[in-house]
Amino acid sequence: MIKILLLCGDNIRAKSYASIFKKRNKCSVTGLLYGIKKDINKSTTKINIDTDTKEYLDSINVDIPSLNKDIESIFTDNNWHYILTEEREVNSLEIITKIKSTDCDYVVFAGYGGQILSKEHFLQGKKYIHCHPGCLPLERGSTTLYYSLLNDRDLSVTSFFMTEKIDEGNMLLRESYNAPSKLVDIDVWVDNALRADTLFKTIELLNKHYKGFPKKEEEDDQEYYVIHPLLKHIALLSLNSQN
Amino acid sequence: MIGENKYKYMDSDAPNVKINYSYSKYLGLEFIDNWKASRIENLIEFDKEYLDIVIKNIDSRAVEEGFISSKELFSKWIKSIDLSNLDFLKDVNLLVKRFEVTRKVYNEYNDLMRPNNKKDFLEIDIYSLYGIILGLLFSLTKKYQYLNAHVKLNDILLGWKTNNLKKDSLTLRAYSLDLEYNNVTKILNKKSIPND
Repeated sequence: MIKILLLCGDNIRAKSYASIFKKRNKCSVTGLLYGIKKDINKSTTKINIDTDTKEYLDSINVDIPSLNKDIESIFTDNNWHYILTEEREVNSLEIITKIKSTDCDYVVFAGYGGQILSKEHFLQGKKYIHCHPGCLPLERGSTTLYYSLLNDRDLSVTSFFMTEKIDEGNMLLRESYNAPSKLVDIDVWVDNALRADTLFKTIELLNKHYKGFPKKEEEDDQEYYVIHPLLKHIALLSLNSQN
Repeated sequence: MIGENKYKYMDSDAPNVKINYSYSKYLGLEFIDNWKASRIENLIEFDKEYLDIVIKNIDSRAVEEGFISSKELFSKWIKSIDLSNLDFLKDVNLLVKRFEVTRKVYNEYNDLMRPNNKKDFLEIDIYSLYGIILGLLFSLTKKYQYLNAHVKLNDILLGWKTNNLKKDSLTLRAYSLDLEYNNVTKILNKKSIPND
């Protein structure tokens, strides 16, 4: 069974990944939980899933993650070893040193929005895995699930080994999911649940010593940028209009 | 933010400030109505022949060696959009990337689409011309990257004070808005999204 280090903040992505680790039990888990203050009152705001989103995830056999516990409590409840630090800068010497000293086969990254890993992360012999919502290299960049809907495509997630250049490492798995046919919550539930599902399937492959595959030169390569709210609305309203 | 319109993505400080589009809230059809109202009140009739003359008459002006005036470059592109010209597409796509990062269009660029002077980004005609290119490119390719940048660019144009603008500038701006409005309306209709 492979050993995973979850490098994460207290965010819904990390909770989704932790959910799937717990439920499927296909890897041993250690955590480096960063940007988190110890003994601070945890948020008690509940995140509820709506009926259509739940039905959609059920219909494509994707587990619904548990998002209503803070990440440290999830680690504590599961008796997973973890290190907690208040340092929020993922490229700090403190965090890189801690990663280096952790016994793990792979680092799964679920950091804070907008953070990009510096090259120092990739100089220490650890392999980093990231799950990108979109079929790479066709759907690189930001908010790509919405662009998939606009382009009448299924939703996809690609897992890959990270390198200094975003979205350009060896790919591990390109997983497709039928597009929803009703209005669903993409940002909170669908994005994170699909990424967690692809991560789980990737871990199954890595347990079999899978190495992944490189991007082919002839593949169409498109880059997308933060979607304008107008296009986001068109993508979501087009789901409603199918009924 | 400007006026009574409920469309929240126009800002009279743009392009000096970047309008934030991240994690926008879903508002349903009301959002489409608000977008539409923001555009309709700014659409004006314009003479296509006059527009062609305005674009044709954009003259080249002396710029520093290694750079080209954006007005000249964009008007050249508009006059002969050629999707088989890979150099053209490479430059346009690079400019889309630069625009998405900075939300500015600069007065002069080099061949890597880097600006000559990062303080020179306040010429409305340059934004309008770039908007026209994006609108025409989306019409031809249906690539949403162009429409995405175009709507953001028109948000900037709509925040711009227009009281001192001459007819030529108003015509260029009107064409950029018109292209976006028509492109979006076609998509709404194609996707059966009510938009009356």
